[in-house]
Amino acid sequence: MKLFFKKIGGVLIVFLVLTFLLSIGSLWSLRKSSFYKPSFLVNAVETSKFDYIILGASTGLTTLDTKQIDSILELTGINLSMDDTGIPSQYLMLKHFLAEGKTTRYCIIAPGVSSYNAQNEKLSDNDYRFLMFTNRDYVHDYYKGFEDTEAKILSYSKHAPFIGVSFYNAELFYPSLLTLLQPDKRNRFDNKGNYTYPVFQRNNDSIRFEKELKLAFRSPYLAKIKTLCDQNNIQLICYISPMEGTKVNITNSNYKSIDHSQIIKNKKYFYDKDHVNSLGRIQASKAFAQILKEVMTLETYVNKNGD
Amino acid sequence: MEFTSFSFAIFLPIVFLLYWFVFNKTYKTQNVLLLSASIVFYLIADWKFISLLAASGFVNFWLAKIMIQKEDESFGRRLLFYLGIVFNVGILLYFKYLNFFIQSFVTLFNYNDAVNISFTPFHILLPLGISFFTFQMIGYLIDVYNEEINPTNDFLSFSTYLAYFPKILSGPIERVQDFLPQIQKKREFNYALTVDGLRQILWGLLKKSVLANNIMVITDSIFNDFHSMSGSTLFMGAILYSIGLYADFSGYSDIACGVSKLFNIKITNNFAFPFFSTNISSFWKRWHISLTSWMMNYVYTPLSFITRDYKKVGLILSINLTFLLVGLWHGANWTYVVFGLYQGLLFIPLIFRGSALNNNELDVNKFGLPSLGDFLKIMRTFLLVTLGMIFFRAESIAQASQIFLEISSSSFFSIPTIRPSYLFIIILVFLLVEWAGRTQEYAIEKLWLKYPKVLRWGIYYVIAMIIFLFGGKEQEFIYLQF
Repeated sequence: MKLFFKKIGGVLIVFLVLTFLLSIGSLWSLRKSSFYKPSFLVNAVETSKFDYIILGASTGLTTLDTKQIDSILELTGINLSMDDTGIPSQYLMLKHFLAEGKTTRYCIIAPGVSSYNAQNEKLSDNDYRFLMFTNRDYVHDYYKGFEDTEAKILSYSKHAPFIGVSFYNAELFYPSLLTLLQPDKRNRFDNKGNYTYPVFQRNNDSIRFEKELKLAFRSPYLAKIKTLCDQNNIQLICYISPMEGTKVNITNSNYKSIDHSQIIKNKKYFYDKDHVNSLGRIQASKAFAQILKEVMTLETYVNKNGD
Repeated sequence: MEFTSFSFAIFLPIVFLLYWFVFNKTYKTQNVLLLSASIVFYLIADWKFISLLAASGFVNFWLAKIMIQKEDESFGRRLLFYLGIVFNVGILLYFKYLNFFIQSFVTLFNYNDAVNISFTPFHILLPLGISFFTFQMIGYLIDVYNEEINPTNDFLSFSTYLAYFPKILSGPIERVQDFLPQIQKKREFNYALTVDGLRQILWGLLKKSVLANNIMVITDSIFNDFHSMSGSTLFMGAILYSIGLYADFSGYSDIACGVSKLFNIKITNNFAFPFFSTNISSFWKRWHISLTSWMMNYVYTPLSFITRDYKKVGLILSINLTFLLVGLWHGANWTYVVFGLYQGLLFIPLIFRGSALNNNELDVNKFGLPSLGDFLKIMRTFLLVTLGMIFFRAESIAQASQIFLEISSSSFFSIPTIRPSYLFIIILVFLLVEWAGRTQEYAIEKLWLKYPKVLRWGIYYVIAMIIFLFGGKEQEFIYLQF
């Protein structure tokens, strides 16, 4: 029996060492790549002074095209949105952005609209994409701030990376193999961070806005983002993306907001109820650029002439 | 608590250490530990029905003891026997089939709108492992009644047999005469068997975590959205489902057998490489072996005795009734009934050829490959089984019919929408390893034992790494629902 325990102990140690090395290697490969937004920001974005950044979920990712906005306004912006994320993830992304020594005048938050009111925030599905930076305190602290199992797994991965890499193997390990060969490969976004949904044939019907949603901006993480923005002299703007049939009623005036929930009135511009397609994106980005220009002009005027 | 859960990874080493270091004095102390561990295991898995499990053990133990004291062929003995059968079947009927039978009768009565009866199904929870442990108890009573075995007087061992945690949730359906003699003597630590057990657990984990968990994600996405899938995609889905189901259940069985070997107790291996069968009879001798053996012993054999005068018609009837029960055993749904009947019907050509119960052994050439004829037979059997799996997977007969309709439409010739991925490579390598190890208890039992130690261990580590890095998101074992 002694022999058995000796051997099994040896086997386990070798196994742990191997998994540890593989996990470290996997995270290293992802950290050096442009595959996910957090490492894309670190490795592929050379600009350090931005006029605006967009932080959002799939709505922000697919609605506001920074290339189009930049060409209209001659500004420098970047889209740092990630699909399947909530306002907490956008808070983490802002911290990550600032930790890289980058600055911006405007921070546009564009999450799914329900996220604005969410008070019991949970870890978002794609927050594992920061795992390669878990050695940074703000990332680790962020994971520690949640109670769910996935958050614990990510949190423990600081010291035992094989836990997170194993749990999220499809999302972390396979891409890491890919990025070893193609470090510049991006996970479905362009070099300015944008992605668009294709145009499916949909009816050319006008939309009736029957559903109303009250927005009180109750998310505690939104308050944290505001504080962080204030500390870094960044103007925060809450963007409400176009929706098919839902209009928004904002009941909290403490946040600057752009409500584009009803800006698109025809179904042919939508991919689904919450996302525009590439045609809708053109419309939405154009409208956004116009508002942003007005906001900037007003700010310049205020700065020159006082309130 | 599932075999692939984190809690089981803590539970098993603790029981293992206690078993060999603390409770190793006598077989009774060993059984006390196994029973206690099994109770804890069942409590964590399904605490609500622990009393049902206890009642089942208690009633069957005493019924068998009292029954055997009655005279042969006496009324009292028969009465006790039938009481026992009614008790066990009653448990199964109540918990598993009551709603199904009532709903089916209601549908039948309402068929021509002559009467209109409404029925709200009862809220009855299904106890975990019920189909497995009640079948064990029925088998025990029949064997005692037929005087094939003597009833045991050792309640501790009997309870351990009933509740033994490696097999309580999804079998195998173990016969008492195979199990009790092993636990009624002190078990000594067996190094070779323990290592063999660990190797089998490793192989089972690979099947479950890498193959079944990943495949089921794909098949769920196909069958849950079957309306919008082409015939070719549905057909691919059915093939993947067959492989996934095999990987899931045989993976479970490998882990169960492997875990049991750690305690120096051998339990029935439920699978013997069924996908390499050349006909349906051979397939069912290799698929869920403990269930088919049970059905053979307690259903088919008595039935074929009763129908022996009707020759081939009698044989067809016996086989089809047996498979009807095999189907129904899986669950209270007409899809399982059709699944069973379909399997039974596949035997008819074999019956007319006189080879219904023959065991077809494969001949291989010097390269270890089957002849072209055998290969085609293997493919044919796999295809027939796969088509049957559509009933097994479908939620209703209507859904299965729609899937069959789509498969038989022109869309069968379109390109399937399943993306080829690393999983297809893993499946291919897995099937090759299974083929290479098909004469063993499980594929890698002795497969690489002749290799130098370094190489062999290298392979084991590769398997472990594949489990670690390619394992899919944890999903419940499919047979837990039965």
